Parts: sequence; structure tokens; C-alpha cells
Amino acid sequence: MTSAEDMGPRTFLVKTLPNFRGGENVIVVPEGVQVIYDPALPAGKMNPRWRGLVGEWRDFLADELEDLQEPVIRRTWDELIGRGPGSTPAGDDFLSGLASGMIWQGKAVPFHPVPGQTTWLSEEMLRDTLAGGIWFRAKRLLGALASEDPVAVTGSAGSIADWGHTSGRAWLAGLSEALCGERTG
Amino acid sequence: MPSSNQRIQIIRRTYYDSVTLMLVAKELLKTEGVSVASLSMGTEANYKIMGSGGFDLGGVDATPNDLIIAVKTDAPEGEREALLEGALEKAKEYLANPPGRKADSGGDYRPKSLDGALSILPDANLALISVAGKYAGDVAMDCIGKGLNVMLYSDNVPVEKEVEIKKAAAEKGLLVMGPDCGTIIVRGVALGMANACPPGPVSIVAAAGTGLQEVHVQLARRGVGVLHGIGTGGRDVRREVGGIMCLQAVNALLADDEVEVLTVLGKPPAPEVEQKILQTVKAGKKPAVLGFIGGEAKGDSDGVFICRELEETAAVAAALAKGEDGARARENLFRDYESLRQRAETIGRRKGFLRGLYSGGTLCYEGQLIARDILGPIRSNTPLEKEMKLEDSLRSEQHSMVDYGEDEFTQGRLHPMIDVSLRAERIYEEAKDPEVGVILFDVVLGYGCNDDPAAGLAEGIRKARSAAGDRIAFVASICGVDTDPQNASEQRRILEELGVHVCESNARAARLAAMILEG
Repeated sequence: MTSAEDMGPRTFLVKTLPNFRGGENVIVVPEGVQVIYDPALPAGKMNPRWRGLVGEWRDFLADELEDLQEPVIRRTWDELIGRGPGSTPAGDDFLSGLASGMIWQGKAVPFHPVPGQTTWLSEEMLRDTLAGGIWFRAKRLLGALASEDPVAVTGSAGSIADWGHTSGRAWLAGLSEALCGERTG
Repeated sequence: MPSSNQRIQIIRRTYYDSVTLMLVAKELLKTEGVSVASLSMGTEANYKIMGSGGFDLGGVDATPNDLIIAVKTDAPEGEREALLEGALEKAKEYLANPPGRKADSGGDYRPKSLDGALSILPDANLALISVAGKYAGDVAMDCIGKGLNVMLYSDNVPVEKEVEIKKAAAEKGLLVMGPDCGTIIVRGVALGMANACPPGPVSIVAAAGTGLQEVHVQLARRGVGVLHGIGTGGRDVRREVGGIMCLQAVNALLADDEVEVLTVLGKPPAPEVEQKILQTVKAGKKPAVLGFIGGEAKGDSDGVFICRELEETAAVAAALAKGEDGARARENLFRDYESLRQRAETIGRRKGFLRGLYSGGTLCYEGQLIARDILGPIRSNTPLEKEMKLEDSLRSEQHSMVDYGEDEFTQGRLHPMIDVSLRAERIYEEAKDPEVGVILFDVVLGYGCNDDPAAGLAEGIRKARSAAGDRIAFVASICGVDTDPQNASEQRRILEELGVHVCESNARAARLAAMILEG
């Protein structure tokens, strides 16, 4: 990563990346590297004040993410794995948000990915999430949601909503399901 | 067979806000060869407007829920097909990504729902609603349910819904300001289309449009500020609604110790509602001015002054706020109006009819009332008497005044205080009528209004002058102050350079316009 904002599980912060050839394997030796971000997701609880705000993130599914709506309504979460275009299909972003929210609240994650169902990058993302690892922006948002601070909440939510083409909004919709859903929140 | 010089496309069941539609239409007009561009919902009024813009609408079957994109070209025949197709494509691209709109990204998250907004601002006690009229009532009910006062900017709200939400609000001691409420002032802070005037000891209850703005501006010109300006919506004082919110607002302001002078104004209420308001105001024992334009009540009594015009209302209220004699302020004002006759002589008398083209409903009403006393009956889409209703609002007859802020012109279109283009076209159309002697119009400034209305009207005035020469005198009033974003003096300069005779108030402009044609 070249920005501290984008740090996540198993990432390194570098000033610039060298030019790689396509298909080239890169080995990173972490010895002597200073830890600047701890991706471990601590247990927490949403301040009830934010329920109205977090609840509206479900509505992100109404527009560009409508492909995800049916499985979400039916709560057939496994159908979401690999659903949608891109290197991290929106269904996986949604599930990552859902899993992060569930783990944060100390609840069981309601889906079980198996290898080969989605892209390599998504598989890694879901694996990290299920192992309790979380991206910097998401960790900052969860911290804000436990607080009383509206500036922290709107700032951190904004930085996720703008993330990727649909990734951030799908992730927020998943988090909303975890924190405000009828059987999950 | 010659190729058509127009192309019309209907997009079914599609709604865009009127700002987007105006921005896209403006952008299309920048395309070389595109002579007319219109994006509007398929309402009856919009059919008429497009028809008057020269579109052949035969076979067009859009409903009010459908968007109509219409473009015309003056390009040579061989180029038309590609140009019109290109314009339609461009329109659709612009709709997907409206020009001139800031991208909704790159910053803090902004709530999209009422519950979300209340999470962020749990102490908020006022909601501003601006959604399509058919949904606005339900949104308002939701807000009232959550203990919020409501400014209902939306128009086209059914009157039954208005009564329902106002009754619900009154039960909770809340205000519903609207529907069709474009202006309010809360503790000196303006919301919607309002002027940058200082706060002060006067508070106003009004329908909520240009009547409130005109009095706000006239007070400021007399060095007096406004603390609260509460809009109730034009229908509130009609029999069907019974003045529910006008009375609620009057009572709230009477109970407010910071309010030194109370002013209630607007078009005339139903007689029984006017009586209730008068009694409530009198019982309040606070210096007050009722400025119902052409209302039934007459004669000052018990510290309550009854006025019939907007500048008069402001002059009396300003005098009361300064501890001066309200009656004398009124006398002085009307004496001042006499000098307009000399100004009319200097401008030179004209023959023919008066045509008033207004963006402000109360201004249009006041204009009719004043001009009628000098010239006789005035026809209008919002007439003083039913018999004087124009058969077609787009076609003037004899002396006429048209309120472009009426619902018929604003369904799926921007209010004329924001989009001046329809009036600019109409000024030219009126000038082509050899029987017209004076064209009168208002220019309303303030936050939320067109950022340069005089320049927007200029093309219409120039074309009108070249069509009519010296046959027509142009008279205007500017409702604004120099601290407004548009700067009233600068707007005045633009109009005067075009040969327009600019007056300090609508009451003066209407008098001057009528006097130029008098005798």
C-alpha cells in the first residue's frame, strides 16, 4: 500500500511500488519492518444513537447493487459469494462487511466460503475477515460507531462509501445487515 | 419529403429534479445548431409550453410521470438528422451525470434518510422537505411524528393532505411552513429563497414567497430587520385549510418577547379566517400590521394597522419598530407615490395594453390590484375576480398579468425565480403584439434565486426592444438588497442599461406602469 488509509491485514506501507512484470512472484521479507497498523478487530458494540444512520446503508442495495438484493432478502448468504463483476465481486464486499460486523459484536458469521467460489483477491479478503482481520478504514468506522462523535462517524463512513466503484457501499450494506438486520443485528 | 427539425423522446416513469432538467437543457442549448431544448415532465402545462415553443406534439403520449426530452434545430436539412440524434444522446448522458453538479463523493458521508440525519443531529427541530409533491405529505407526516417543525418547499401537495399534516402538527404544537413555501427566516437566518437582510425587531407571518421577501427587503431599506419570517403556504388562509398554521405562527410570535412588531401578510384570506386572525392579533396586545393585499378588513384599531399593499405594510411596520407614528408613515408613502405621475410623463405616455410577467405570486396579485384601480380590469391566470381568468395562461388578452410561479408552470420545471428563460421568451412574444404599450416584470433576488436574473432576462428584453422600438416602455421592480448574492444595484444597472425603468418596490412599478398608459 502507498497510503496509510488503505492499510489492511497483511499489507506493507511503501512510498512507491517498483515496476513488476505480469505474473512475477514477489516475496516480501517482513523482518525489521515496523508495525504501524494492527488489523485485529477488537470486540465492540454500536452506540444505539447510530442505528438510523447505519440502517440506511441497506439502501445501497437498491441501485447499482440490486443484484445482491434477492439473496440478502432470503438470507441465503452463500449465494452472494463471487456475485458481481470486478476483482472483488460486490457480493464478497457485502459479506466482508457482514462478517466484520458480526465478529465485532461477538456473534457467529452466518456463511461459510469454500475455496474456488470467487476470485483470488476476494478469497483472500474473506479469509482475512473471517480470521478477525480488518482494513484500516473499516476499523476506524467501527471505533467511531462505538462513540458519540458524529464527525468521526460521517468522516469514516464517507471514506468507505467512496472506496472503489461499489466496494465501499457493498461493504457498508453488509455491515448494516450485521448491526441492524432483523436476525443479525 | 423534408426532414423534421425536431426530435422528441419520452422516457417512461422517470423523475429527475427540476434543477437537473434545467442544467441539461441549458447544456444542450450550447450545442451548435440546437435552437430549442426542453426537458420536462409530461404535464398538461408543459405540453402547452412546448407547443408555444414551436414543438409539434402530435402523437406524443407522455403522462405526468414521464420525462419528455425535446430538441429543435435550425441547421440546414442535410445536417438535422445527425444533429438531433446527437443532442438526444447527449441529453441522456447529461442526465446520468448532470453538468455543473458537484460529484457526491470525496468527503464526509451525508445521510440520505430522516433517521440517518437525526442520528447525526439528534437536537434538530426543523426539517426542510423538497421532494415531488405527491410524496411530500407523507414525508412531512414522518417528520411531524418525530417532533420536527417542517418547511415544506414542495408544491403540488393535495389540499386534503395539507389539512391532514397541519392538523397533526398543530396537535403537537409544531409548525408546517408550506406547502410551496420558498422562504422562511428563523432568528434572522434565511432558508430557501430569501434576502440577505439584517435581523431585527419585526417578525412576519406570510404565505411564504415574494410577499415575505418584498416586506423583508422594504424593511431593510428602512433600516429595520426581521427576526422570524414564517411561511404558511398560500392556501393556509383559504377556507379549506382555515388558517391553521397562520394562527399557530401568530400565537407563537405573540408569545415571543423578542418580537416587538408582528406583521401578517399575503393574498386575502377567506373572510372568516381573516376575522380569526384579526381577533387573535388584537388580543395579543402587540403592535401589529395586517397586510392582506386587498383584504376585507379595514381601518386601524387597537394598535393593529390594516394595510392593503406590501410596501405600505413595511413602511408602517418600520415606523412602529422605530417608535414612530404608523399612520403618518403611510401618508408619507402615498404622497411619495404621487411623484410617479411626473415620472410617467418624463418617460412618455404609451398607448395599448399592460402586460405583467411575474415570478412572485403575491407581487402579481398586488400588481393587479394597483393597476386595476388605474386602468380597469386586469386578466390573469391568478385573477382578482374569477371572470378575469385568462383562458390560456400563455396568451395574454387586453391588460394581463401572469404569475409564472403558479403550479401550472412549475410542475416538473424550476420556479421562475431560478429559471428566468420562460419569462425572457414571453417578454419577446408580448413585444410582438402591436397592442402592447407597457411590459412590467419583477426581478427577485436572494439566496437560492437565479444568480444573475437581469442578465437572464436581457436577451428577451433586447429582442423585444428591437421588435417594438419605442412603442413599449419596460418597467421593473427589484426585490433585493445590495448584500444579496446578486447585488441589487448591479442588477439595476444591467436593466437600466437596457432601457428598463426600475422602481424601488412592486407597488411603485405597478403604479408607474399603469400611469404610463393612463388616459
